Amino acid sequence: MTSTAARAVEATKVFGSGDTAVTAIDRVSVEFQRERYTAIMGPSGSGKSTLMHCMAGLDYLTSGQVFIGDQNLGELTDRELTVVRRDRVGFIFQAFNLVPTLTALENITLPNDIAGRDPDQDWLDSVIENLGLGDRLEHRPAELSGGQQQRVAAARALASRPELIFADEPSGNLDSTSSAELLDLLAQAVREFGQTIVMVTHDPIAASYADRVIFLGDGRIVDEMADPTADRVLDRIKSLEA
Amino acid sequence: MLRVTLKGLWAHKLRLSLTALAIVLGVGFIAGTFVYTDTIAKAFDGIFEDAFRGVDIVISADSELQFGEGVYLPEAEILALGEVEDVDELVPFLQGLGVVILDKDGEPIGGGGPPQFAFSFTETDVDSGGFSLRSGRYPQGPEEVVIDARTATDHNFAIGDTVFVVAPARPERGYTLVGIAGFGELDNLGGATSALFDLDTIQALLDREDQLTGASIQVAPGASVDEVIASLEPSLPEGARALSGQSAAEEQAVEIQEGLAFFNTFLLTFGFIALFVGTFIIANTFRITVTQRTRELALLRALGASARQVNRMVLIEAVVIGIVASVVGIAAGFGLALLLKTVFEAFGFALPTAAPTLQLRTIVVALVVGVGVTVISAILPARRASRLPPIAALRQDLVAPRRKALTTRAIVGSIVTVSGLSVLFFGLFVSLDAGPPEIVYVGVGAAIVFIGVSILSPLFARPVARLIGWPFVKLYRLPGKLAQENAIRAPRRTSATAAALMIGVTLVTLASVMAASINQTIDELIGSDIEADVIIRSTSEFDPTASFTPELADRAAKDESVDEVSRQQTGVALFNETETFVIGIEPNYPDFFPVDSSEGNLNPGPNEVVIERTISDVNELPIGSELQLSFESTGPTTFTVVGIASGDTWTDVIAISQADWVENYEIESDTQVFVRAASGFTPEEVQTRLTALAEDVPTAQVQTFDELADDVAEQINGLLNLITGLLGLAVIIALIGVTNTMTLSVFERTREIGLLRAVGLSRRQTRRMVRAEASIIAVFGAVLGILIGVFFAWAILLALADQGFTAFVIPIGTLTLWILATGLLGVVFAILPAWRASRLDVLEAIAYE
Repeated sequence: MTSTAARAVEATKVFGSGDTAVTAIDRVSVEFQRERYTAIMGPSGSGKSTLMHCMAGLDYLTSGQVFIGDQNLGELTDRELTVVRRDRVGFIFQAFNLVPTLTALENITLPNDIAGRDPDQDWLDSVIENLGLGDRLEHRPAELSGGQQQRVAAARALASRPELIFADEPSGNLDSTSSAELLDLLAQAVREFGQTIVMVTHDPIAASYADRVIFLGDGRIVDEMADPTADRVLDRIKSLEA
Repeated sequence: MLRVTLKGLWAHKLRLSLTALAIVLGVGFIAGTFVYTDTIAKAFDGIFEDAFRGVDIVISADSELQFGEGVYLPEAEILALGEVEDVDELVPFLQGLGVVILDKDGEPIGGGGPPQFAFSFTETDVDSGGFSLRSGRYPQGPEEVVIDARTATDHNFAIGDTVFVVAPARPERGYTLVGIAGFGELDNLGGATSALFDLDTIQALLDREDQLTGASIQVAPGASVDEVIASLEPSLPEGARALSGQSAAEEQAVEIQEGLAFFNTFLLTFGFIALFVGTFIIANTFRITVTQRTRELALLRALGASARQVNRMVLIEAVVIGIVASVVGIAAGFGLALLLKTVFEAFGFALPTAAPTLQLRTIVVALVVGVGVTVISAILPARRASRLPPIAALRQDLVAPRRKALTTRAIVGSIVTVSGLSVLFFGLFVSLDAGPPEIVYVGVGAAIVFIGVSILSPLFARPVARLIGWPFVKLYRLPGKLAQENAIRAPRRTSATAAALMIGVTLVTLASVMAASINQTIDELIGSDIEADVIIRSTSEFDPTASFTPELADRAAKDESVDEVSRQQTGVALFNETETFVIGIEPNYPDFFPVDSSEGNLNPGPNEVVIERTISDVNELPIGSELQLSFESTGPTTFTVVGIASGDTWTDVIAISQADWVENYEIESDTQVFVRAASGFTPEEVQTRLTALAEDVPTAQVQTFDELADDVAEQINGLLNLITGLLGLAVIIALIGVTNTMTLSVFERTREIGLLRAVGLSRRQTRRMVRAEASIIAVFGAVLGILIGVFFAWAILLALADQGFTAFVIPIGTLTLWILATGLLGVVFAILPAWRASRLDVLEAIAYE
């Protein structure tokens, strides 16, 4: 049985106020299971990034609740929220994932450094080996290709074994080969190590690597699909847009 | 996290060095000041050690005054001490000031700063006075002199030459040069000239027959110095004391150090002003770099770094920069010490120096101040950094800094400015009995005003930058327009950079306005109020007590071009435990110095004194009350106040009769002689005739009052130039701030500049755009600075009005020049960032994120 890693209850986020108010997500309720790979899909402006930011404790809801495990994030102070992000959540962003002045290895161990903990060396070694970064560890981000940079970001997220990893268009800036490599590695992490991943994407191919796809439109969940393939996802999007 | 900080710093070496430069200069100046004054102190220590080497005991006068001629002891009683048990040898000595050696053209040597000494020089086993013969022999008899090696070298004197010497109360007289002397290793005493005679000759020259300054004693072999001192004490004449040679050397060294402390404080003030300006530069740099690193810092926050960690990261960065900059600053201090030495020598303040001295105190002060200033500057930017929302790592649109509401800024800025003004005015207009001196309040108040104005300045940065930018738009068209818009677009950055410049320009303006106003006051005073046409005074213009023979006044009074003369003697005495000028006046003094109102009798008799109204009011000394003056030679003497006067020319006057003055100063010579022309003679004609009469007294000069005013103005301008030069440091640091800001903003606008270049902006136009923006910022700072500087000067002059500073002159020409110069310097200091901007690779720049 898989339990819930994170969930949202009636989550609403409004940007601005008065005439210029924009409701980015509108009373969204959703659950993400442990050890599953979930993709959130939707066109630009559908609120998928906002949902992820709020679920990850990067931004605050206007109303409703989000939980990581049993912890209601809305009840936390900035300091407590910081600890949640540090210890329980991992991130892979579309771009600007790495601190440019640190080497690849230093970037990977950054969350541990921030917490002042020593990394689990065996696990770290196996992550680095799995992601094929062994010969790139002393390089600065500027000396790495885009695919390598995103793999470093993935390694960073995996290294601290968080309860849940949020990935925001992780393959958005990559060519198709690098993209496939990265997405494969993420799916493998879920299958082999029981990692939980929530990924935001607008790319049906990326979504096809997930176990489950949630479709967002105009700030609401409009549909969902289990065990997706790229074609089915594409068809579903077409039908939703029609 | 420390690693993240250090790596980040190292990766941005340019940013690091630009930030550090402001600190390096400020700390360097402070360290340099310490190194310089410590070195001088060490040199003096060395001199005194040399001077008292071999001297077991020194007999000298117990004097409270440091300034003036010294106290004299009766010769017979001192010589009698030679009979005391275990006194092996006693060498009496006499020394005096204001004994001027003439060069081969008959012009006085020295007089611009260091004193002109005369000493007795006796052949003895006791090393007295520190002089030793380099060549020739000791002076013997009334016709012979020995001079210091530096004077001999500089003016080509050789043994056998005739050297002319003028003593305060004597006309010039020739002596045969029989020897050249050095002071230990040194060729002279800190730039002073020294003429050495035998004891009888110098006693005659100084009118000190039967008097001595003291004596050096060597005790019998095996005798205890302390015991000999104890047995000497009962026989010491009144006012004399016996000290071991070692204590005397230490005491002299301490006196010099106290004297140097003032000099030290004076210089340090400019160092701290520079660092205060540096604070603005550093705070601004940190703010810009924090903004530039928004995404990086927010990424750390997203990955779980706490707000406190980010805050600490920025502060650690500041600590590291502070340490590095302070260490470099200490090294730079050595160079600056050398520069200070050169500058002060150029201004005529020659002081002895030794090998540069670096004390632990210098290192500690430099580090504490350097690191402290950097960290304080970084506090606000660090807070800003820690408040960045983690979401800023992901959302470009959140990068723009949160702006404080304009009303908040206006309120906070106004409160700070008004508080600063209150402190400033408190210091200016309230006199305090206890606590720190008023000037501290003035300084602190001014600093708070600067902070307040810099908070307010973004409010008017837009319209002012638009106005200042207008000529650039006309001149450069599009690049000018872009520069103007850039300056307006970031009003906080523009005004923060301008604020640093504002401080330097304020102080320079203050100095200019004060100088112009004081010159005007003096012009008015000298021009109209004193009822004299010509003045005879000493050529030692820095020393109002420098005197010359009274024969000159006698001769002048007899000349047909002269209607009347009034002699004045000026000396120093202790009044209320403060060194004060006391003048001796003739009965006709009030005819030359008109009074507005007076009471009592303005012609003091024996033991009577006439004082100015303010002195009477402040010290509660009405007619009939008693006033005590303490003289070097005669000690405390009580005078009865018989007259009180006020008038523009009566500032700070304490006047006694000439008979009393001569009695208490034991010298018959004049320091100033005021001359009124007989009818039919112009001041210039009188001057020509009197100059001829004074030909054998080259230490005196005859001037018309126009010339006197010019001379005084020249002195004030000399001081102004020195102060402006020292403030130049603050201006340079502020200009480095301009370089810094422009470099960072070019970096920040990489994409934008790339885009402009892509659509056809030429390299030259790009450079113009950057330089014009720098110029707009610089002129903005200059305009603010000039406005505040004029206001400060007005306030200070208002506070000084009752001390006779009535004029308020704004030197518009000078100030306009400052604005133009600052604008130009802004361009110069933007050359590098402008060049960088024009060299950006267009494609890379567009792809840049």
